[in-house]
Amino acid sequence: MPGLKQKGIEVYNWFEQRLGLGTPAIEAAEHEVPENTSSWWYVFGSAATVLLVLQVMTGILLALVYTPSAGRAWSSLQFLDHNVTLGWFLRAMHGWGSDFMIAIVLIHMAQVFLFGAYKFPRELTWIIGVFLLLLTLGMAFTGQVLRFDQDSYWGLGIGASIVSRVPFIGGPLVDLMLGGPIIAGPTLTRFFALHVFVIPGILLGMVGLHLWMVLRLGINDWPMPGRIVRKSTYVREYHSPRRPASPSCRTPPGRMPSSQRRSCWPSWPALSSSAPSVPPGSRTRRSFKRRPSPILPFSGSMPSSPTCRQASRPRSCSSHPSLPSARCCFSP
Amino acid sequence: VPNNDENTRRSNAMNPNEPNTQNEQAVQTEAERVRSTGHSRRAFLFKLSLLANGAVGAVLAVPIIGYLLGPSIKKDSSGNSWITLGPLSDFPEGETRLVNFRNPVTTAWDGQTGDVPCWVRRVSGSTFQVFAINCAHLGCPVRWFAQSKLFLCPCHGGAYYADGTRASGPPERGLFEYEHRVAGDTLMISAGKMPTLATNASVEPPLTQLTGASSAKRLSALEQPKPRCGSCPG
Repeated sequence: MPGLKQKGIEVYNWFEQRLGLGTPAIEAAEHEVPENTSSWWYVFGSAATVLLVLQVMTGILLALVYTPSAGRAWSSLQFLDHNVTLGWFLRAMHGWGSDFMIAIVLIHMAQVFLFGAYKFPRELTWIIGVFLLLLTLGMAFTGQVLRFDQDSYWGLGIGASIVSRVPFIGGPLVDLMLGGPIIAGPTLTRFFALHVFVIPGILLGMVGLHLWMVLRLGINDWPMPGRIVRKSTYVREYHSPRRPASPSCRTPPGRMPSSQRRSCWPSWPALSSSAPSVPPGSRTRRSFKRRPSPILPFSGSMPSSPTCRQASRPRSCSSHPSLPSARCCFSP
Repeated sequence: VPNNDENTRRSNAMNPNEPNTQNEQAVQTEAERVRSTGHSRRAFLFKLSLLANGAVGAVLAVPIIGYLLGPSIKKDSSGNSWITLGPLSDFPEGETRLVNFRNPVTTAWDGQTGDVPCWVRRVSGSTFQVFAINCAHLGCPVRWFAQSKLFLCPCHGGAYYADGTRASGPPERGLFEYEHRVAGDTLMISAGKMPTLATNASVEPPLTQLTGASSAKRLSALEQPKPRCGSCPG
């Protein structure tokens, strides 16, 4: 058994040496967050992502049977429901999953709004999130079209009537949407392409950007009455160490590539040098704890992070997962 | 580092008469100047390759965009064609009936969606009105209620009188009408395209909101439909 484990580690290291994706992924997964953010209020983004993965998987499985032809779409779904083992169940999962995804995305949006998490420096995360909501709604609309039942047909008629009201180019837009003079075969195939290729591609790319920014900018702090998050003091408060790193916080030379020794905020030096900061008493509650990471198969064998992973670690260490030890060990 | 280069270059430019004691340094400075202003062979070839790639992209974009926009720039898709709805005997005078027709433009895999319904109202003799099924508001299928003599839309409560004019609800105009003609013993309509506000398939003028006394007059007029021709009973 130990031999097997050793073998597994060797295989992992073989890939890791070439790919180099494991270490950043593990660092991202185990990065520290403020303790007061371990709340269910922060779960909806992850929940929406889980539902997205579920929708992709069930969608691929439905596409094994579904026939995107106006004359056959509905009957292929009847076949799926009644003749394919558990076909009805997967179709129901996909249908209910879409309802749940819209609900969760809306709750996520409400939470982000109420927590003020859309403010600096996460404006672009919010803006992309708005597009993600629109894309999710687009997936729901194009998805219900694929049933090609009465609801789909007259729903398309409503869509065409809305589009026809666009000034000047309404007529050509209706033709573009329907793919022909009436709601028929070409309409279904283009909505199939939208639902299966176009919108999911854009959606996944934007989810990637959205997640990248969550990791890069850190999770937003729990909002507290009276504690104003100001753009002018944000970088100093949240991205620079308040006290010098403890003596134990030293990385052995050579462990860290020089490329990592850079600031989290190299381009915004002006932002960190104005206005008074929050009184010291208000930040005593914000201690850090390490969240257990579910995706660490070989954490024991990996080069562990420096010993600065302590409760006294400055908050900047938590905010930039790709540079977990650069700030706390090397900044002045 | 770039700033230092910039300063060196600028100071050289400001003092052109300053003697350069080291020839190597002068050559290097010249090379950096060329590089920084972008007038090197490398920069030229890079820009040329950008241009070539752009040209290839533009050539490829023409068929792709043409293919995508095909349905909206196709000329024959905007034209309706004349099709037969059925013999005149199918349509009793004074009644409004639902008729299905096969759309003149279909594909082999359209299935039932190639069938389009419409409402045929035979006023009298050879006087017909053929209404599209689609509500003028958002395209939902209107239904004829013979007892109340109204077309009603199930979606948002749009209502139309027997002659297709708007009675109530969100539609801003009357029902769309197909052009029709009586050819021998059959009724023909010009169809092919889903009627929307953009294509304006109606021959009726847009209607105004009924207000005040005029609405009462209109309603009383509907109680006794005025004859369309001198001899027909209406």
